[in-house]
Amino acid sequence: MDLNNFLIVSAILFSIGLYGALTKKHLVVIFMCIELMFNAVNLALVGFSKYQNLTLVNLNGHIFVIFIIAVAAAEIALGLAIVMSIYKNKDTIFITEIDSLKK
Amino acid sequence: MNLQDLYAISPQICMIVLGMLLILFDLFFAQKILLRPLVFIGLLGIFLLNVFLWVNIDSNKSIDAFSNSLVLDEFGLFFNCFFIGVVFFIIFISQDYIKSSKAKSEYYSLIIFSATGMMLLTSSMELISFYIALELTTLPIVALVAFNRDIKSSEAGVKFLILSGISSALLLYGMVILFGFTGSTLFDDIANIISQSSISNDKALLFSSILLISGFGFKISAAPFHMWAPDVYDGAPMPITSYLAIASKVAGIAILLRIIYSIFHVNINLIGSWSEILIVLSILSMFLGNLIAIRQTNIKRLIAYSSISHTGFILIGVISLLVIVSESGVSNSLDAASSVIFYILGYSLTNLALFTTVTIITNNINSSLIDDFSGISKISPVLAFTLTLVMISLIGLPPTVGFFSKAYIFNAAIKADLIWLVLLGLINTAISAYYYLRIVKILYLEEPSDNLSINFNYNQKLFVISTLVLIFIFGIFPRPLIDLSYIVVNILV
Repeated sequence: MDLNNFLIVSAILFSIGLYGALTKKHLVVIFMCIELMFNAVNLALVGFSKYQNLTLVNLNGHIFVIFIIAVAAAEIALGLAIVMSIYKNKDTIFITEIDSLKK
Repeated sequence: MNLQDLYAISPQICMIVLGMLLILFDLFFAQKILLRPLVFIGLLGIFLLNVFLWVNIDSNKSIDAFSNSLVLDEFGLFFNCFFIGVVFFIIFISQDYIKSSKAKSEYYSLIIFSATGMMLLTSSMELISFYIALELTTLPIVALVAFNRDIKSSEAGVKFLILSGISSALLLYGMVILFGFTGSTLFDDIANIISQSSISNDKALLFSSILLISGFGFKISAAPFHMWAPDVYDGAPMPITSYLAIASKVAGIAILLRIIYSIFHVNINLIGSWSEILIVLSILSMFLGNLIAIRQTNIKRLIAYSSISHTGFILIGVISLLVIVSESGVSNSLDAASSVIFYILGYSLTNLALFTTVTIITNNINSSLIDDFSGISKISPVLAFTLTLVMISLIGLPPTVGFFSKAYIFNAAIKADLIWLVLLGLINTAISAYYYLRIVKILYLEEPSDNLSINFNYNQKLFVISTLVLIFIFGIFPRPLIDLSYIVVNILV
């Protein structure tokens, strides 16, 4: 196992997430795709932290991952709350049917 | 952690404490009437604290805190004062909006938390604290955009959340590559390492710069990352629209300056590619913003597109800064950097007046269609005149502050030998005159509808008139603002 494997998997995950976030129609699936992007970033961070032995002991990457997980959780909590409020108003969470701002 | 660290971020700590106090106050006391005075007194206190710190700091010297991850300098202090001022203004104009709401204290404290994020953002010197501050800025704004809980507001909120999530993921990926190839999260260390980078690292750094710029592009709503702006501006409550247009955009530009001056200025090749990418963003923003704004019938959407085109103008200043840095070194870029700050100040001042008048008008006529603004000059000459002066300032004609902002940006671009970019900017100024002056025409030359009446209280009138006077005064004597913008960027250069 070397660093390249981590980076390749992370790049693939990130691309899948980005593709899904831009093309999917279901709001919850879009949030899952965004979550996938964050996790791809986490994987790259952990890989870099473990294998890039530039300075002595580098825990920065690992700490960064913890912060990203916390922030992503906050983001999803907020997102699901807004999805609930859309569902109450409109009875749907497919973005093709949520178009009240387009005229 | 020692006392000096706490001293350096005392304004931010006080802001957080104020936000929490507001929520607690709401839990324990029934008198909602006391909330507004409490907010104003708290903000005034923090503003004075900032002024105190500013007076006591040596110019050209910065205080590092938390092992170099945060910094206290004049740049950060200026933006602290700026964001507190904007919060003051937002809470002032949300008087009518929040009157009927049950969740007053949450509204105020969300605005304050978001402003705290911006204050931390402009003083962070490390990737992790930078990212946390960025999210602290964005997430409360999402909640505020969706604050009405009706379908338009929720839709705007979810759009903003998805796009800001994607943009922060892009930004994060850029940061991770930066971290991976330098092995440090501190801006200073990163700058040290990339100044001596080899050619193989340059490609990775370029890739990370592209990701970072796309992330910033979302935050400052530069085309082609502008898609969220019109819908979110339209769906959000009016005060929050102004918060997005003023504070959020200024924060984006401020961190762009901070990142350029603390990391990327050391690597000439990288600066060159940054300016090439930003030129594309700038031209696209100006043309897309202005051309689409012509067709808009809703004032909020028009403001959104006009703010996109203003992003293009601000980016001209940033580009000329980058070109000067790559050609003749950092020390010569002072003029260009200060022109960016001056543009920000002029743009914010004009937008304060714009949003106050537009809020008053839309509250009274219950519509945000431009055609419904017809004949307001006959009912309220003060509002119509202010809006006219604001439009003149947004176009960039004398005698308003907008004229000098554009003049300084173009001056910086000419110094950087970017005459063709100046020409494109002038063409766009001409295009923008069309839709700005159309509003003036509707205000003055058309007949008012029958049952139109506009009521606004003494405070609002005072505020409108004072912004009007300020736009006018700084349009004739811009010297104080120019001096201020030199002081602000002096520490960076």
